[in-house]
Amino acid sequence: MSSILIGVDVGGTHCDGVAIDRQTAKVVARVKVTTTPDLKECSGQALRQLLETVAPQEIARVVLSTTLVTNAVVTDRLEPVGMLLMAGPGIDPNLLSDDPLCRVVTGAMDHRGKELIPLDPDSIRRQLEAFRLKGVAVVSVAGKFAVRNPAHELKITALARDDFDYVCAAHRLSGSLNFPRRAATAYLCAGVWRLQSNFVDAMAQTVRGMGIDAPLYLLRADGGAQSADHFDNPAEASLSGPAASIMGVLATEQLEEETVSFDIGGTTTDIAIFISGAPLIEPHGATIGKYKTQIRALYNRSIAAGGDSVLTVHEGSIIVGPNRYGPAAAFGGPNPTPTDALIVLGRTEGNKEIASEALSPLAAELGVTVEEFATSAVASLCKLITDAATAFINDINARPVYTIHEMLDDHKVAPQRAVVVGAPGKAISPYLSEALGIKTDVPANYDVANAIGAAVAGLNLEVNAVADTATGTMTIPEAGIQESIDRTFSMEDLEREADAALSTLAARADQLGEEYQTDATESESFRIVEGHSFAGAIHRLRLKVRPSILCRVKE
Amino acid sequence: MQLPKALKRTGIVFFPAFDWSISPTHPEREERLLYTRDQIFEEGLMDVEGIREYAPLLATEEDFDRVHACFPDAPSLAGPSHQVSAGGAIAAAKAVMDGEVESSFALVRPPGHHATRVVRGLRGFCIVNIEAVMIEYIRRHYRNLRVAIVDTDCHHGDGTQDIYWNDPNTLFISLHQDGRTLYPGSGFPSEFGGPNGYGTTLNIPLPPNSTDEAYHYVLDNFVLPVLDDWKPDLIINSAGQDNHFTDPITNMSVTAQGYAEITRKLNPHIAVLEGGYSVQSALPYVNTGILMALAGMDTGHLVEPDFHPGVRGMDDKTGEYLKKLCELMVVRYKHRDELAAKEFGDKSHHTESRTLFHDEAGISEEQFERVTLCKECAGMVTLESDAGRGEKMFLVQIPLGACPKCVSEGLEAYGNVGANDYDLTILQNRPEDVVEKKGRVA
Repeated sequence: MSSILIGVDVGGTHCDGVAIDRQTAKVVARVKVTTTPDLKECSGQALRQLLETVAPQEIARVVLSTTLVTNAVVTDRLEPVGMLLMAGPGIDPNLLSDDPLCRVVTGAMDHRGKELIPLDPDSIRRQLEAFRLKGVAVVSVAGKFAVRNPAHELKITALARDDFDYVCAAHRLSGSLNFPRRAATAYLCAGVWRLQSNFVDAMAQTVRGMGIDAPLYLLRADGGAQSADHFDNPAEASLSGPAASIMGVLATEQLEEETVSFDIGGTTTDIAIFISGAPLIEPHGATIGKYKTQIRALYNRSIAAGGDSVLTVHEGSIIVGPNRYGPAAAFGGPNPTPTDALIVLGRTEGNKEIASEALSPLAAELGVTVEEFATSAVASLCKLITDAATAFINDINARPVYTIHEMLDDHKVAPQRAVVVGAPGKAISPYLSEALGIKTDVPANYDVANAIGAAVAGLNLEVNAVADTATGTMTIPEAGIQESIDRTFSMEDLEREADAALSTLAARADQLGEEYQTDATESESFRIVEGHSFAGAIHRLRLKVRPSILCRVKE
Repeated sequence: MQLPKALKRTGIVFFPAFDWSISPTHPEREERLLYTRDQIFEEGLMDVEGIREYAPLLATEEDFDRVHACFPDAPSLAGPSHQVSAGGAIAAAKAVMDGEVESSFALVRPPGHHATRVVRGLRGFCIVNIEAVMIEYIRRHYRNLRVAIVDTDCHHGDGTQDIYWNDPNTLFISLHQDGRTLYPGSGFPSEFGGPNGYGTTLNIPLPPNSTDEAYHYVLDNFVLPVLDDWKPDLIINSAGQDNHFTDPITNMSVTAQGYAEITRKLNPHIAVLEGGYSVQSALPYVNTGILMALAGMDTGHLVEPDFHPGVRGMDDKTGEYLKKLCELMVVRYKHRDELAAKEFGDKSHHTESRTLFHDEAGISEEQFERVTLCKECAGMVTLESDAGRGEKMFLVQIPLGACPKCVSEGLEAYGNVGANDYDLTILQNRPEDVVEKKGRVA
C-alpha cells in the first residue's frame, strides 16, 4: 500500500522537499536544496534526494508548488495573448486594455443573461485572422455577464478553436461577478498556459523516469492540490508559495482558536488568519503583480521584511528592508541583517564574530552596544510584522456585509494565538510573542512547513450556481453547465445540481478521490416581481470545498 | 489588462438589505438592489483605484432622537434595517468629513426623505430620515456646518422639508414631479420655509414626462445659481432614481446619462439613495452612473438597454413653463428676507396648523406649531401633535446654536407642561445634545 505523500516547494532561495507517511503522520524524509534558475532542475534534485529514503512504489502522490507562474506574471514574461472583450452598458471596455492585442468586439449580455447586443461573427473572424497573422497562438475571450449566459464566449471559442493552440473562455474560470478581474484572469490563463504545460510535461517525465507511478499534483493559490493532468486554469498555480506555508501551518498545528500565522522567510514575511481551523480565502481573488484577478487564493498579507532583510540606520532609527541583497553577513552575505542580530543574541547558530562586526558600525552610529543594537533591530522587525498583522486584521474586520442579519451578527476577528514558521521563525518567535502579547507556537518542522503544506494539501474548488426560473435557465459557469429549468425549480434543486457539478470537477481534479467537505456560502433566493405579480425566482449559491489537509503531521 | 482610475477619491457604502422588505410585492422589497449589485460588482467598480468601499455603521436611538419625535419611541418604529440604512449614510459622511474621500455615495435602503419630525409609522416607504440623521450626526460630532440638500427624487421630499422648515442654516431644494399628479401631493413654490428659515426651502414642481433636457434646464437656471450664491459647506444629494423613464410608479423621463450629468453638475459631497423602483431596467445603470460620475469617471458608455433618443428632448410648452418658474423662484430666493419681513412682520411668534398623514401606518395627525421669531438663531419651536386614540404628543425644539433667550424659552415651555398633559412630551435640547421625555409612554 503506497502511503507516502511527497511535497516539494520551490521558493526564491531554497527548494524544500518532504516525504510524509500518511499512516503514521510522520515526516520520514526532508531535504533542502538551493533553487536553480531552471526550476525543473532543483525540483528534480529534491525528489532524487527524497528517493534516497523512500522507495518510488511507496509514493501515493507528488505535489509541486513553484514560483514558476508567479515569476512569469510579475516579471511580465507572458506569451502574447489575443484578447477579445465584449461589454454592454457601463465602464468603457477600451479602458481595460493597455495592450494592442486586446480588442473590444460587438456583443453584450445583461445582468440576467439576456442578450442586449448580438455577436458579429464576421468581424470576430477578421479579428482572429489578424491575431493569427501577427503570430499570436493563444486567445482569451471575456464578456461582461458571460457568467449569466456564456453563449457569446462559447461561440467565439468555437470560431477560434481550430486556428489557435489554446483558447480560454473567461466564464469557465470563475462564476463570481467581476468582469475586469475575470478578463485579467483569462488573460493570465492563456499567457502562462504554454510555460505551465511544458513544465508539467517535463516534470511528469522526470517523475516517471524515477520510477514513480503516482500522480503528479500542483498546488493552487487556494491551497488545494489539483491533478497536473487536469489543471484547467494554469494561472491558478500562481501564489502557491504562500498557500503552501499556510497549509503547512494547518498541517502541523491543531488550530481551534482564532490564529494568526507568520511565515518568516529571508526576504518577506507572509501573514495569514485561521478561523474555526480553516484559513481565510481572499474575498475577491488574488492580486498578482499589477493584475487584480479572480484567482481563488488563501488570504494573506505579505511584507518586505524577513531574516535576510538589509539593516540600515536612518535619522537615528533602524530600518529593516525592504530589500534583500544576500544571506546574513555571518553566512557570507554583503550586509548586516536581522539574522546577524539573532546570532549576536545567541538565538540562532552562526559566526558571532562576523555578525558582531557587521552590526557594529550601525551600533556605533546610534551610540549603543552591539547587543543593544541587535535587540533593537529584532524589535524593529517584530514591529513591522505586528503592525502589518494589525492592519490586516483591521481590513478583515472592516469588510462590508450586505444583509441586516450579517450586520447585527458582526463577528470581529481577534486572534488568540500565533504560529510562526519559516527558517528564522524559531529564533524570532520569543521576540514576536512579546510584541504580539499572545501565545506563540513554533511547530516541530517549522523550517519545511511549506513543503509539508504542499504534501498534505487536500482538494479545493468552488462553483457558483445561479437559477432564474423566469428566464428558465440554470448556469454553473465553472462546470460549463447551462440548462433549461422549469418554474418550480427550487433552492434545494440548485443545491443538488451544484453538488453534482462540484463532484464532477472534484473527480477530475483529484484522481485519488479523497473525501472533501463543502460549505454553501452566499446562498440567496429572491422573488422576481414584474408589474405587480411574481414572475419567478432567482436562486444563487456558492458551494465551496472547505480547505483541508490529508493528515495532520506529528513530530 | 488594467482598470480605469477614479479622478476623485470616492467612498461608497453599499447596503442592499437583502433580508428586508415592506411586503413581498412592495416596491421596497429584497430584490430592489439585487441587479444594482450585479452591475456594480460585475463592472469591478469596487476595485477601481480611488474608489473605496465602507461598511455601514449602526445608527443609535440617540441619533434618531436628535432629529425625530417618535411615538411611542424610536426602537419600536425603526428596526435594524433603519439603523443600518441611516448608519450607512453616516459612514458615507464620516469618510468625507475625515478627509479620506472627496465625495461618497450611500447606496442604502430603506429610504428616508418622507420621514418628518414626528414619526408615528411608515410614511411613503420611510420611517427615519436618513439624510437628516446623517447631517445632525455630522453637526454633533464635527461642526455645525452650513448644509444644502438637493432632493432629486421624483417625489417631493416632504419629510426633509418638514425637518428643516425653520432652519436658516440648511438649504433644502426639491425637484419633483408636480404634486398634483403624484404622492405626496406637496412641494409647491409657495412652500418656502418657516419664519426663521424663509427662502431656505425651495420647491420646483416639474410637469409629468419631464426629460433630461427639462431637468437640466432647472439645474442650470435655478439650482446651480442658488447653490453658488448660498455657499454651503456641504452639499447632500437625496439621489432618488424614480425620475427614470422606466420607473413603474412615476411618470418622468430622465435617463441614466441624465442622472450621471445631474451628479456631475451638483457635485455633491454625499449622495444618498432615496427612491427608484425600476429595479431591472434603471437602477443598475443609474446607480452605476452616479458612482462613476462622483468618481470623475467617463460615463459615455453607460446607456441603458431601453434607451431611445426620443426620451431626451423638451417640448416648447414645458420649456416656457420652466423658464417662468425658474425666473420667479430666482426672484423669490433673492428677495427672501424682504418677503419674510412682509409675510411675518414684527410678530414675536408664528403659528401654523397642518394635517399630516402617515399613509402606510394609516395614521392621520393634527399638528399645531408655534415658532419664536428670532434674529439670532433658528428659533425655539413647540409642536403639538394629536393622532387621536390617546396618542397626543408635545415637542419642544431648542435648535442647535440657539440664543440664550430661545434656550430659556424652550426650557420654560418644557417645564410648563405637566407630566400627564400629553401622552408624550419631548424636549430636543440640541445645544446640550440631550433629549428629555415625560408622560405616559415616556
